[in-house]
Amino acid sequence: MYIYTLINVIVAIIVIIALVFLAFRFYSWRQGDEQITMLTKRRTQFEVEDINFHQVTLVCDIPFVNKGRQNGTIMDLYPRHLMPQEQFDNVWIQSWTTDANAERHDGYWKAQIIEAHKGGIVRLRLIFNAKNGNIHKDLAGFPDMNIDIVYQVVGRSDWHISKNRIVLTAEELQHALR
Amino acid sequence: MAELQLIPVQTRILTHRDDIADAIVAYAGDIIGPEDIVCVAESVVAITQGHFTRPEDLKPTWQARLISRFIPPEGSMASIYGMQAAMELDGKWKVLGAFIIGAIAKVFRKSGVFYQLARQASLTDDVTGTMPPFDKHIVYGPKDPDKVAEHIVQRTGSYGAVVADVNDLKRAAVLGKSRGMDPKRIARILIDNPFGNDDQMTPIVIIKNFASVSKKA
Repeated sequence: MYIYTLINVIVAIIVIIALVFLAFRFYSWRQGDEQITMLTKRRTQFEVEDINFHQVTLVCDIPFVNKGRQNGTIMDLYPRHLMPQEQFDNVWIQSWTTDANAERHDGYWKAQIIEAHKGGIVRLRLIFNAKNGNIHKDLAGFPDMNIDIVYQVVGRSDWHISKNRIVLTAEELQHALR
Repeated sequence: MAELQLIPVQTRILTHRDDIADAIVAYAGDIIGPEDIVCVAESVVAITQGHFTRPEDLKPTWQARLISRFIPPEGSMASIYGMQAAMELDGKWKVLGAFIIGAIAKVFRKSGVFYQLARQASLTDDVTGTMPPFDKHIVYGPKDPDKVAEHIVQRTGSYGAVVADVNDLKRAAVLGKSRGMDPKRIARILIDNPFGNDDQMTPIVIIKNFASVSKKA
């Protein structure tokens, strides 16, 4: 008889804990989280910002938005250009990003809170340095180049790293250099 | 005739390799007199004490995940890492208990109980709370702020010293003070945030002529 009562009590406790857990999960789901995304399709065309005989700097703006229902913090953000030497080896490439609304010149991403349904603009700069002297000549035949925008975000849940890709096409580069 | 005067002091970025009293002497030693009060920002004191951590170094517990969901989004404790950081110092069960008591108090329309009971929850700044390179860190409240204030008085020969938490939202609190200081009065003097924002890099404020003005009052 006592064992039967004890089992009932244990089952009742388990059911209560399960219900509380489910209620919390439902509350969390309703509350939502951040959803910060780079709007790569809405990026601007690369334009020449600075050019000399040896070097050219291209710039492009990439908007981003927090589509989620909670604030999110972009703790870090940086570009990763992908041009292996096997594919093209005539230029040195550097890439760096900054917040277009609070430009910095050090490549450091100052952590910032993005409120729900708001966003901003990442400014991406690419610097090409000629290996043989003449940047126009050295960029001839430059192929499409993938660039990943990598960013670390934290919101209501665990921090995570996301990346979105843009492509600097051969045609876009040649058009910018014209 | 002497008047109260607030003088913000600019410094370089101070880190855990600095001693706050040495920094005050280096940057403001020549303007601090025996009638002055030295005020220093609490986050900078904490940073010089190495009292900070990174989200990547924390493993959030279920208690942190649970409680943080009930904190308004603008608070440092709304993040599971900010909450976990507070729990690392205060203890997860103590913070959970404070949360439950705070929730009950809210039913009776008494707010702020959670932050009164879980002290680190009110003192900890989540990421973005301080300037680079500490914008990616969670900065705790300062350790032993009264001792820090006393140490500053001994090093500078000032009339008094305080460790203060001040922001642009007209909130000022004195977390640590040297002997004889009236924290409420100092907080009122600092209410307009003479420390400025992070970019101004003025974590030290000197209240000139405090002693002589106090004697006249």
